[in-house]
Amino acid sequence: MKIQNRDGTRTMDVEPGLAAARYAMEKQAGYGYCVSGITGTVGAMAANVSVFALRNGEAMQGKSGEAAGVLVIDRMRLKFTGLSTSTGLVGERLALYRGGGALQSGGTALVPSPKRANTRASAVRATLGATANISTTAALTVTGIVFEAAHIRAMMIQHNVLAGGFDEVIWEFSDYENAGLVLLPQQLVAIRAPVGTNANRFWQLQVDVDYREINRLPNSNF
Amino acid sequence: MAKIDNPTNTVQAEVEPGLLALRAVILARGYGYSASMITGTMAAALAANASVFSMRLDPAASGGHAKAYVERIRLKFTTLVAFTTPVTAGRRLELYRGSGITPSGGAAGVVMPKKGATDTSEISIANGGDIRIATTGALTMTGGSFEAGPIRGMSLSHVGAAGGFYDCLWEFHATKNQPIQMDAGQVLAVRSPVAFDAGGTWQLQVDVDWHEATEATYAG
Repeated sequence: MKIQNRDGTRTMDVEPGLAAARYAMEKQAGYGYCVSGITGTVGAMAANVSVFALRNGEAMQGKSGEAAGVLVIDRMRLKFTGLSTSTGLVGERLALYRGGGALQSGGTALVPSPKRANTRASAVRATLGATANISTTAALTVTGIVFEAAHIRAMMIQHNVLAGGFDEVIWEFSDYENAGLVLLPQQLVAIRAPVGTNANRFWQLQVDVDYREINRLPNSNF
Repeated sequence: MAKIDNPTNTVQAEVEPGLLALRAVILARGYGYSASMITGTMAAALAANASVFSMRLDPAASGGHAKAYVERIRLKFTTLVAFTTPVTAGRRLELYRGSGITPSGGAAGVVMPKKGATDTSEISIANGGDIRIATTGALTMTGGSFEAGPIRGMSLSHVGAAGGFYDCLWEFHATKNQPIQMDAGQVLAVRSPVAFDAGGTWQLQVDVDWHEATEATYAG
């Protein structure tokens, strides 16, 4: 058996020595996007406030014969900078939660960039009732949003108490390494402070996100 | 039972004993290239929205080099003379894509093919593309426009003291997500969304990996 392209002009080769089929992976499924944003100078935070949120604006029901698309997060990179010397509190951290029920607001609205300039617009856009937002100096408004009980990832900041202190984490969800973090239509993820941050802490957070939007297959649970 | 042959029927693909899985080797798609460049001593007070590194795909790129897929950019930032305010909120560099832009100035870059010595890249200046990095001041970016949103960010708020160093990786690799696609004539540039203060001088090293290929017509 030979594996050929559609018009039969090329046949897949086998690597001599290894007796292994050759393949070239170009990309994962779906439409790729990224979004990047940075807070302003953020002050003390109350417990459970949100400083970043990104929502899948797909409708719950797709067009006839189609299922609405899901948003799959592959990677989030966070860069935290302390802007003041502060007194650390045990347990100070930022954590990622998933939720739904309403649209966040406030802060700065971010503009997603498609990995291919000619691809379709992201479902994270205002005309679909969805945006990505990052705080400027205070918490985002998350009225009506119900978050899942458990957080998905966390970034400890209790040790980062000096002006100029810096820490960088990658929250890796790639399908290649594990499984992407799926947002069903109207779901969102938010970066929240599970415990309040100290009153004398001023800080800045930069967030980079890679995600894909994939058309769900009818009769599948993906 | 079907067997997978190579085009001349001399080699057959093997099934791995124990796992009973088809053996496969991953080959990088298209033609692979890299470039490594470093600025000179960048003068203080870089203006907002200045470009310090850029690469442009030949506006006439076609065939097997019709698209450039950027898989990884690694930046190394060093502060040489302290900034007036060493810890400054918002100081950063960001990656933007644009079109219709003609870059000039700075130092021209050299593209290294991953395989062989022949430079076939459509990013190369010799082949109609462009790649360059600033020497002491911003690059000149004439015409066109950048997209509204940044693709990636490199926070520099914390590295304002002399000798401050930060190594930042922007990873787009296909197996992790998707590479950044550049169409013919499009530009990727590292820019300063906000002005740098009047005191600090600095240096930036940029390493880029990309491949050039046809557009994946049947890709989802």
